Amino acid sequence: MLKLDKDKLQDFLTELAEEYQVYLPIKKNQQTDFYSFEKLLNSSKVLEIDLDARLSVKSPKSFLFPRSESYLEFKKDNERLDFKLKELTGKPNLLFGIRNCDQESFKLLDKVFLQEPVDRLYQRRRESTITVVGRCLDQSETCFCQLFDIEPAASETGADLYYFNSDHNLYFTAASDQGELILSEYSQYFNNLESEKETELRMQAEKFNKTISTNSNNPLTINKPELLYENKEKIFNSNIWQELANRCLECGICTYLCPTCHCYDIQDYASDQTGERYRCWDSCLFSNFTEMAHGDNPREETYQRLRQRFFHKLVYFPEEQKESLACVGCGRCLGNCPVNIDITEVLALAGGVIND
Amino acid sequence: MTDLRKDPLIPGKAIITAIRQDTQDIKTYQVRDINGGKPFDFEPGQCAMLSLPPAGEAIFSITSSPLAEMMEFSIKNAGRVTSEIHNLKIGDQIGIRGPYGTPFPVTDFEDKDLLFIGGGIGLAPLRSVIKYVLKKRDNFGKVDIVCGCRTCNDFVHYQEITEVWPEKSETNVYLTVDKATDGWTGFEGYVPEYIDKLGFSPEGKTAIVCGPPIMIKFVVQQLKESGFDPADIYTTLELKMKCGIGKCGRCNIGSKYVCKDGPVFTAKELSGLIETF
Repeated sequence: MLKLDKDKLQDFLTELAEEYQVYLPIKKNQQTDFYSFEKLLNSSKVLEIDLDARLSVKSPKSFLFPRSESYLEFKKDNERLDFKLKELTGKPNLLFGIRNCDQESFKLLDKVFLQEPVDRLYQRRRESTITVVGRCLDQSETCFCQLFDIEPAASETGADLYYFNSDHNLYFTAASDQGELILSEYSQYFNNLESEKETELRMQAEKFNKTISTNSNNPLTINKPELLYENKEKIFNSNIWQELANRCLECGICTYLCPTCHCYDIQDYASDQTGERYRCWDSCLFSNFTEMAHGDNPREETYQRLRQRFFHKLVYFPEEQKESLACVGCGRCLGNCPVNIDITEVLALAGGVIND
Repeated sequence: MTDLRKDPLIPGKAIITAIRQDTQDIKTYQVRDINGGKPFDFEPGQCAMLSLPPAGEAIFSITSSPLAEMMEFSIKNAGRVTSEIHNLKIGDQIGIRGPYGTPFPVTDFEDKDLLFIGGGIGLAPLRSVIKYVLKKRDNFGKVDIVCGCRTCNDFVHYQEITEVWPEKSETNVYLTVDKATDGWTGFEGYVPEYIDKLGFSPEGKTAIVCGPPIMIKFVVQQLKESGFDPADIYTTLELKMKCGIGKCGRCNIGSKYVCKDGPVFTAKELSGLIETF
């Protein structure tokens, strides 16, 4: 473990930014999200690096799977049609200060995008992206990652670097060759620490992981996510979906903020005879998601679409992907749904169906 | 460095080499790569994504035989992309990617009697199998083909269906229309009615059904009731698709993606799905 004095953080990041496109949590208008460090340096405004926020409002999945990504240019000239690929330019990304839930969500996205046939638009970003995880030593009231066996203070979830944010320092450990390389290349910013402090942090992490996974008082973790999987017929045909649909506004905020939602649309944008093809996030909650050209829509009703969303996460995804559940308990949907529909409520209602 | 050229969403270039107006709103397009060959190899029942920027992309069943040196698509003018397709002229270039989906298992069909049941434009994917089977005629048992359309003016490939297919050995073609017009003297009635009347024996027979969802539903039910093993009834599912490779999420039904696990399913596989349309 190596420590970095927070007073030196900006200098360290400035040097990192020469090699990487660094993104980190910045507080703007009372809201913390990932922004480019380079742009922050070049702006005249004073912006606040916020490593204390439990979670960014938006998920960092957008750095691997952008909200909108143009990948093809086309040009029409009478009968002739030409395509040109849009290559990525610029430095590789370094995501500084993401949380373990989001790191775990990348693994779920990997299952979708990196299974054959490999999605190379995703792969080109994924393979060049360095992740630095800020280990959690507390949870916010909307966190429930333990429900998915995620240890928020862990340091073995696939990131390149991990740090503890404690007192006036960040305490780093490397978990990949690239992580090691960063610690050695920028060694002037790091100091060794007393073995007592290292032991203390490790014990604190272990204790925290254990406490939250065994705490049975957390209302968000009472119902197990396997509930749907194990009772799928009964829950599929229950009226809980209609109850939820009566409230749902179909705004899609849950799908946009969800770090594991991966549905997308492909559209062309053109001015006259030239244009671009892009893909962008889409939502299974929108009525035109499954509407076909001849007008038929197999999921015409809101309740069918809501059911599809939760069944996809908790039944279909695990069936297809060796029991992985497509939720990481980040709680963004809890915090942001305008009518308070979220996965823990679905589990609670489903639990009711089973106990009926 | 990731080679973007190999990305599954990147289309290749193809050219329209023939167009035939089949019905008022269906045309059949012959498509070749720019060197005059088949854009890519495929198996019967598989699909291709056609690109017509700036209208976009849409997925279609390949209706030609996999043994042919070109591809054909029978396309109904129904939406944004298909209306753009209907404006195409011979020589126009389009984008194409694929093949997508799990094909009909034609090698499993060998030595069996085959019963094809197609409704309307649903004949498109069946035609690829039928042409393959008729080309390798000796490898298969008896072939019965039932085709239904709204009126006699709605048959796609009418000449081929009525003049070429019945000439093959042990091959029967049965046609029906929902409404007899323009001097139609054949059977009048919906496909399930006609199937009922024809009364095919399930013995040693594999059924291959494609058409509007409501027709598929009734026909499959009828075949099961008349003794067909659900594992011997093949059909196709239709859902909206964007990527064709099981990632964009649109065609997800249960733990399956129609674009990669389908569009071909047996009635047995479909009865195992939790959601039915």
